[in-house]
Amino acid sequence: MNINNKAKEANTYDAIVIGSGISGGWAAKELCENGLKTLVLERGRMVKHIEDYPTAHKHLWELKHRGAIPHKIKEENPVVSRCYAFNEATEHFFVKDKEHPYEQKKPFDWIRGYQVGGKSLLWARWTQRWSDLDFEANAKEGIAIDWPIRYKDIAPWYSHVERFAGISGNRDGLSQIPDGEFLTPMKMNCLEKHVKQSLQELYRDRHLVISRTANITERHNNRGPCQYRSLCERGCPFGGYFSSNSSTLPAAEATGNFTIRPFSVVQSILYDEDLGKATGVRVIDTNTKEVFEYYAKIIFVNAATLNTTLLLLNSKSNRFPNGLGNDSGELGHNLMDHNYNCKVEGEYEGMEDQYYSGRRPTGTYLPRFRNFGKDKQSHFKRGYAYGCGGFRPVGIQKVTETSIGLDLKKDQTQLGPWTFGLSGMGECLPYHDNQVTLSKDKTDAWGMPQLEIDAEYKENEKVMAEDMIDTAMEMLDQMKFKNIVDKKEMRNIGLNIHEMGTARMGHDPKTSILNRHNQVWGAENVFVTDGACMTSSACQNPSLTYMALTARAANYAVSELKKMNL
Amino acid sequence: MRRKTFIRRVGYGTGAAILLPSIGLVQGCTYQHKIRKTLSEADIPFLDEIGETLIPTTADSPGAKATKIGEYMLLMYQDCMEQEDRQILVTGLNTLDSKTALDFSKSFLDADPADKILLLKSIQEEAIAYNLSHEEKDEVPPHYFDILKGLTLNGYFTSEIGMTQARAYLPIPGQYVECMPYSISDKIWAL
Repeated sequence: MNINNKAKEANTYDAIVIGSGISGGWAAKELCENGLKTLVLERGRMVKHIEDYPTAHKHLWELKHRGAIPHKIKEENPVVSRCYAFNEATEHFFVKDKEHPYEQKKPFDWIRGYQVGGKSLLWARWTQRWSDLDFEANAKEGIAIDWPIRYKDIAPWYSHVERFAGISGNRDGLSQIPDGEFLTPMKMNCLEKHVKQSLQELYRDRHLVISRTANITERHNNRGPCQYRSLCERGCPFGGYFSSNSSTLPAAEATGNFTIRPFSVVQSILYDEDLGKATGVRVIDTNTKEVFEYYAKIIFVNAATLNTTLLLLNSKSNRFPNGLGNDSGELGHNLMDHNYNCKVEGEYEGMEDQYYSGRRPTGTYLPRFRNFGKDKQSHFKRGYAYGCGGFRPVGIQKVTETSIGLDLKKDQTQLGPWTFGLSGMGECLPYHDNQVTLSKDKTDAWGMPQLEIDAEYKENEKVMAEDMIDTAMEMLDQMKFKNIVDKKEMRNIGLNIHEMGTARMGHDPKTSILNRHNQVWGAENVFVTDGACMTSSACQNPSLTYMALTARAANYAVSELKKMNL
Repeated sequence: MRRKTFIRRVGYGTGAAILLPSIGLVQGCTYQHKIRKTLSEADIPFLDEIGETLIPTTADSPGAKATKIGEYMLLMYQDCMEQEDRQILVTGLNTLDSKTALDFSKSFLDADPADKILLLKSIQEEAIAYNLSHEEKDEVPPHYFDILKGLTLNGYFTSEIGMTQARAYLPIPGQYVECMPYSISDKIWAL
């Protein structure tokens, strides 16, 4: 008995954070800095900043296949092979389909990164804020349920995370993407400046800006600055971008309150029915398959949307027979991604004597203008933004038609015409029947039920994507671009890696899983602050919002703990 | 199609490359072309020569052969290409080999440089015509010439020579210069 108590004591912390990715890292930092002894559980291996970035300094010719993924790996892992960032220099940071199977009722590309730092090593780093246009949309349109927060609730936390993460950007004064705490913005090239001006003259409501980006343009918190190599997904040896590994985890560690346990997959959250709250977690060591229990006053679930949901669904008790906090039956439902099925390019005649130098790791951003201000669309709700970029491709002629020998070599060593590309980034609505459930008979190597995913884009997303393509082509045409092409971008839902919404926030336990502080209804010492908590998707890249919600919830948890409310 | 069937037939039961009987060969020919079932190290000099003809050495930079383009093509063939493209490439190389034998009574390796260019240009014309005739269709299998051209360009411009000599390479740019003058004689940036 005495031994058991000692063992229990050794396994007891003030707080447990499940997951070390972009939101888990923030939970760890905020909790540790507030004096809480915090255990971070990570299912994957350790990845130390800089020392565990094995390809960071490799030139392309030093990679065996010059970056290409061997056919056998592609064949065994068709899902992850479709991810734009999956290549020979980054593949060690991605989960292989084969090792972590899941069921697709309809095609859904689930891209995962199981290691310390999670997908924060791999993210695209675009960090536009949301506005009340987004937080109010569900309520105004009577879609799904209302967000229990508004912009004013999250605005100070956006500032809080921006200041620490280091976000480069320009204060553009656009209400749909409110200004934040920015470092010096990255620069637009000649064509982008031209397009910005042309759009303003032609449309007035379309403002091309440099994307707010978590790449730092000046030295910041002992990191960086960005060296414009644009090899971010390999891990940055200069600390040029924000990741858990480069930023939040070292800050948490520096407090002396931080413990991290890699190779730890959480099997379930332990719920005490008498206390009406969670007491800890059951963990499987992924190497030895031994089972441990850890205990804490508060638990942050940051396993990334779908694994967070899987864990909640798997945490069953008499009180919650259908998964922790799932009185509403909404757990697993309302899965969203964004719709990026739009890529349009056109060529610009002129400025042939202009070029650029360096590889800018971000692009320009054309914020939402649909169903905003005076614009009203009758065929679809919400709107989209475009990720844009001007560049000069190699070669003037079509490569298959360029004559061989000296002509080919010459053509491939000179610049083609300026080209401008627009990638649509459309909001997806939350649908109850876009959902995940636990497999009844299939488990993974650790005995965890496999996830079954059943989701698709529906009418609103498809009609919006058509408008994205038509509008991009029309804008290029109006700006006198030539050779405008629809690149026929076609991605499965999931591949934009913005899966979210399966444990949504709300006002009411009857229709949601989390309250306005990301607390699980009925287990208020459990907080879910990754993408699972989202009530709608907006069209901005979501990670900044996850970070801000996490910092907000963590500081709330600390204050509630002090008040003895948890 | 007939060609593929033929290869399959003569290929049965043998492991090694097969020498064709002298159908269609000019008399007095000293070179007998090979029928490959797969690419192997023995093909590297042949692939090097094709690569060098596509991307030759010039005053400012070595050509594809100096980047060991044959080795690269073989590696891509073995590790990275899809089965369908691998087959198209092997069949195509057999075609190219037999064309050389037919036209010049020599191997591609031994042919005159001018003849090599002529031959590859004629195959490129074939490829262009093939692409044009399939323009309206999605998912058309590539012509073998385009595979060879693609491999050569990829391999060359991701090699150290291609990146640092044929183009200009800044491993650590350190800054983004958003507008700078460019003239056609300037080197362009490597990836």
